[in-house]
Amino acid sequence: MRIFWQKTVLFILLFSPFLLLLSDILSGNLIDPIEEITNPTGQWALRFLLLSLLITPLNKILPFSIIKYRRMIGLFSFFYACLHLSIFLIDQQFNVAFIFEDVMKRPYITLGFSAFVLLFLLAITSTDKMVRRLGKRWKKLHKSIYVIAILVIVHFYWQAKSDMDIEPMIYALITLLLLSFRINWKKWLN
Amino acid sequence: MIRMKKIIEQYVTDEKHYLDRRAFIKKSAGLGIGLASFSAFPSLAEGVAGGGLLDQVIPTKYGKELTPHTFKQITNYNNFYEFGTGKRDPAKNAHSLKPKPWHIQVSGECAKPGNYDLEDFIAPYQLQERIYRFRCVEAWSMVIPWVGVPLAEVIKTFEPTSKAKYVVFKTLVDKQQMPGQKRPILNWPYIEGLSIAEAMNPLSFLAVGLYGKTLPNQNGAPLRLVVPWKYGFKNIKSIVSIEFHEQMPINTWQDQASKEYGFYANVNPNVDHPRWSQARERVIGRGSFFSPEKRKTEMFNGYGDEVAHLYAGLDLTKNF
Repeated sequence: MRIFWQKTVLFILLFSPFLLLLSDILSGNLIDPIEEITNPTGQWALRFLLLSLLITPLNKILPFSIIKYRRMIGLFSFFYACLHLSIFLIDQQFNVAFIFEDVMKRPYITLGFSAFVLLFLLAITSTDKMVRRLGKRWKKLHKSIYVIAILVIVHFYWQAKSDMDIEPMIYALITLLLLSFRINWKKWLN
Repeated sequence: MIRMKKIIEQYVTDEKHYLDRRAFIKKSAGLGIGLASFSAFPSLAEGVAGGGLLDQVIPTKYGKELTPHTFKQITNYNNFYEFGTGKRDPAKNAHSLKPKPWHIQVSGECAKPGNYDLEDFIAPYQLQERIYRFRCVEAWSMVIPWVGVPLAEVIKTFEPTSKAKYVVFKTLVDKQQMPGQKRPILNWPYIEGLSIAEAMNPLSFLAVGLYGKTLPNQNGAPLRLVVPWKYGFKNIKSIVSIEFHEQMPINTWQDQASKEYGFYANVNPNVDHPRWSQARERVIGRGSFFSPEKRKTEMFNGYGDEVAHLYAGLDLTKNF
C-alpha cells in the first residue's frame, strides 16, 4: 500500500510539467507555441532520461531500494519525447515528404529521431511480461539507454545556435558523469 | 491593456484614424495639453527626445497591404543575445538598458566623423512609418510597423569617401546594461555590415520606434537597423557605432559559424540552412495550435523588385 502511494506521488511529480505546459497553451500566453513547447518537452524528456540513469548508482549507496521507480521515470521520459516529436510533426504539417526530408537531411533530426525509435523499443518492452519473455536479451536491449542518452545530447548540442550555449554543455557533463558510474574503473585501470 | 492594444492596432491599420490622430495632436499641442494626450502611450512621453521625436511620423506606401503582428507579439518574442538566448529573455531582462542619453560614434572613410548625441543624429530627418516583413533565419516570421528614417539619408550626411565600400555597425558593450554579455555566447560587440550599395538602397532603414512609440529596449532601443530582405540577425540592435570601411567586415554570426551564416544573409528559400530548410516559414501566432500557419518563403523576403539587382552575377549559394 505504501508503495502505491509513493508511486502515485511520483506519477504526479513527473506529470506536472505536462500540466504546466498545458496551462501555458490554454492561457494563450504563448506567442509561438511550436517553439515554446518543442524546447521544454525535449528538455523534460532528457531530464527524466538522466534521472532514470541516476537510479541505479543511487540505489547502490542508499540503504533502501529505489529500483522500483525506474520504469515509471523511463516511461515518462518516453512520454515527453512523444510530445516533443508530435510538435515537430505538427510543425511539418504532418507532411510525409517534409518529415522524411528533415529526418534524412538534417543530422540533428536524424539523431533525435533515432533516439526516439530506440526509446520506443524500450518503452514497448518495459512490461513485466516482456521482461520475462526476453530474459537475458532484455538487459542487453535496455542497455541501449546509454546510446540513447548520447544521441540525445548530441541532438541537443547540434540544434543550439551558439557553440558556447551553456545548457547542452551542462547536460553533456551530467550525462558523462552518469555514464562513468557504469564503467568498472578498477578493471579498466588494471 | 486590451483597450490600449486596440488603439495601437487601429493606429497602424486604419490610415484615417492615423491622420485624425496627427491632427488631434497638432491641435492639442497648441492648447498646451500635448503631453497629457499621450497618456495612452506612456513611453512616448519618455521617448528619446522627450516625446517630441515620434510626434511627426508620416505614413508611407511600404507594407500597406500587410497585417502587422500585435505589439505584444513583437515585443515579447525575439532574439537579442545581449539579454539571454531565450526568445522571452529580451523582454524579461532588457529593463537594465539605458537608451537615454545615447551616443553614436561615426568613423572611418567619411568626411564628417564624430560622436553624435542620438537626438542630434536623428533630428535632421523626417520620421516615417514602414510596415515590413521580418524573416528570422530560424524560419519564423512576423510583420512589424517600424518608425525610423531611411539609412541612405543618414549615410549621405556623413559624406562617405570613395574608399567607403562597406558600412559597419556595432552594438553597445556593457555587461551591466546587457547581462547576456557576461558570457562569451558570441564575440561581443555584435557586429553587422552592409555594402554601400545595400546601405543606400531605399529599403534600408534605421528604426527608432515601432507602433508609433519609441523602440522598447528589447527590440533594440534606441536605434537599430532594419533590412527586410535579409534574415533577422542582420538587423543589428542598440547601435553605438557606424563605421565606413574599405574591407568587408566579418559579421558576428559569420564569425560564430561561417558554414551556417554568411555576410549577405539574404532571405532565400532555395538555399537551406545546413540544419533546416528555408523553403517555408512559420507565421508567428497565426493559425491554430494543431495547424500553425506556414507560408512559402519568398526570394529576398518578397522585396526582389527593390533589391535583386544588387546581387546580379553573384552566386547566392556560395554568398549566402
